[in-house]
Formats: sequence, structure tokens, C-alpha cells
Amino acid sequence: MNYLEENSPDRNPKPDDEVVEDRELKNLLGEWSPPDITSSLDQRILTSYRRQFLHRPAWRRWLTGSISLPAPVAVTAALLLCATSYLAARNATSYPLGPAPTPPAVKFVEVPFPVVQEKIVTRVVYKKPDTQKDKESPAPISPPPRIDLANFRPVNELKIIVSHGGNDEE
Amino acid sequence: MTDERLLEQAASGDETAFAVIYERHRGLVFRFAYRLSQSREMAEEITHDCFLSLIKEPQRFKTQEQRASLRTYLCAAARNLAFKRLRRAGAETAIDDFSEQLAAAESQEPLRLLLDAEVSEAVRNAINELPPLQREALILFEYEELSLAEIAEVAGADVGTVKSRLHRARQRLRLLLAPYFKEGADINVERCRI
Repeated sequence: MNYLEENSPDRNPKPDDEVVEDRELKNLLGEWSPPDITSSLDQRILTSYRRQFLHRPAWRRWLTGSISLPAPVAVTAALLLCATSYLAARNATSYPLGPAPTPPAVKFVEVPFPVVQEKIVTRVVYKKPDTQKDKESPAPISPPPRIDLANFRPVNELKIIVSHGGNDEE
Repeated sequence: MTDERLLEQAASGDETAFAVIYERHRGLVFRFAYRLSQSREMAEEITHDCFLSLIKEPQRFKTQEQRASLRTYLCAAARNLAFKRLRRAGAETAIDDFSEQLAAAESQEPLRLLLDAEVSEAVRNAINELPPLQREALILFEYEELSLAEIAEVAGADVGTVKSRLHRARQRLRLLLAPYFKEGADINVERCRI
């Protein structure tokens, strides 16, 4: 049998019965009073409460924390917020908020444009030499030829000939 | 300030708010737990767990806020804790507390205190004789003066069932405490005088 079950045979008294006050029974029941709550219990409960908040991670405190504001401050803040929102909304509506103007379509048209072109003209001028003058003036001294090793190439095969006593021998 | 507002603040770490809630309801919770369990130790444990669970999981109360006051919510929590512990203890309740009371009475005053202690002991035993659900209804109605609707909320039953439990509890107590009612009480006092 379940511990909580009621074992009285009178299980169905009339539910509409008034619960009349049983003064005599109440007085007698008053004879049994519970003990007072000890201060150690109060202390223990407060300590447990504090400990719970000490061990609560900071992020959770941040997420679940709340601040209390005096009512006038809260009302003033709410009014300011409403006024600011109203003004912002009014300013926004003073400029028509149509669709954004689309940029004009770019059309490419070929336009002939005259360009001045430079023309290089080569002219050959023939000059008749002055024979008299050429005779009088000495021939100009040509500068010494410049030695340049640019075209120097070593021979592929070297043959050495040793001369001895005026006779050629290989 | 309302209990709901205080609970919000207490749950976010406001110790003063918690102290106010605790101060308001600790008596009810402790007395109810004590009368159900008949053990100071158990009642203290239940009171402790009851308030701590309220702070740990305030949303559990908030979900029932529409239909329950904090008072009935705490009573329901204390009731569940008490029944759980009583079941675990095999429905045996400690009687050490009474022995202490009796010893104190004997050392302080003569016959009157002894008689009071005896009646108190009888009432206590009679209540302990009641099945837990009847005991719960009787304690909440007679001692804590909760309405039938409130008791129904605490017990999770309908008002008719609570009324029926209360009715049977009273009938049974009248039988168990018959010697202490008016005519019986006179006999009892006379017997003590002799």
C-alpha cells in the first residue's frame, strides 16, 4: 500500500459540505507549537545563497544580471527614447523615400575626330664640291685607327715551328 | 514590493531582496515542514533546500506564476521535499525533539508545563497518526489558515478532494484526542490533581 494513500473508510464525504470551523479542535491543536527557527539556519541559508553567486561564472552573471533603476529615471529615459525616435522618423519622412535613382545607361557613339598627323619629309641636297679650295688646304690627318679586339678570335689549331740555326725544321 | 519582483532581484544576486523574501516566508515553510515531518532537523533541511531551489530555478515559479502565489509555491515545494524524505525514512519520524521539549519543561516549571507538554505530545502524536495527505490538508488549513483553493494548489488536487481529506482528518483527530476535549480534559486535569 502506498504510504501516501489514505486509509480511512470514509473516502467520499459530500464535497459540497461547508468546512465549518471546529473551534474546540483548533484550540487543542494550538497546544502543539513548532520550535522557533534558529539563527544558525538563517545563517546557513544566507551563506548558501552567497556561495551560489560566488561560484556563478562571470559570463552567466553578465547575461542574467539586472540593474534596478529608480522609476523617475526609467520614465525619463523612456520618454527621451520615444522623443528621439519620433524626431528621427519625422526627419526621415521629410525626404521622399522613393526608389533610388538609377544611373543613366551608358551609350557608346563613335565620333570622327580630326587628328593632326606629322609628316616627315626627307630631302636630299646635292652640293657641288669647291675644287680651288680643296687644292689649297692639306688633306686632313686621319686619326689613328682604333684597335678593337671585338672581332678577335683565337685559332682553332696552333702549330709551333722552332727555327734552329737558320734551318727550318718542323 | 511584490514577491515576484523581489524574486527577480534575488535571483540576479541581490542579497537584500533574498533576505526580504526569506523573512516573509521562512516561518510558514519551516512550521509546515516541521509539522509534516515532526523533526526539527528535517524541517531545517527542507527549509534550506526550498529557498535555495527557489533561487536556483526561479523560472519554475515563474511558469506557475499565473495561478500560484509564492506562498503556495513554497508550500508545495516544502511538501514535495517532506514527502520525499519521509518516504526515504520509511515513514518513521524522529521523536527526539519532543524529548528535549519535555526535559526543558520539567526543569522549568511544575505541573502546568508538564501538562502542556503532555497535551502537546498527544496532539503531535495524533497528527502523526494521520495519513500524510490528510495531515497536509489539516496543517495547511488549521495552522497556516490557507484557503481550500490554496491547499488544492499546493497538493495538486481539486477542492473537493481537499475538503474530503480535511473532513476525515478532523474526524480521526476527534477520536484520537477524545480524552483532551472538554469533558475528557476535565477528567484529565482531575486525574493529575489527584
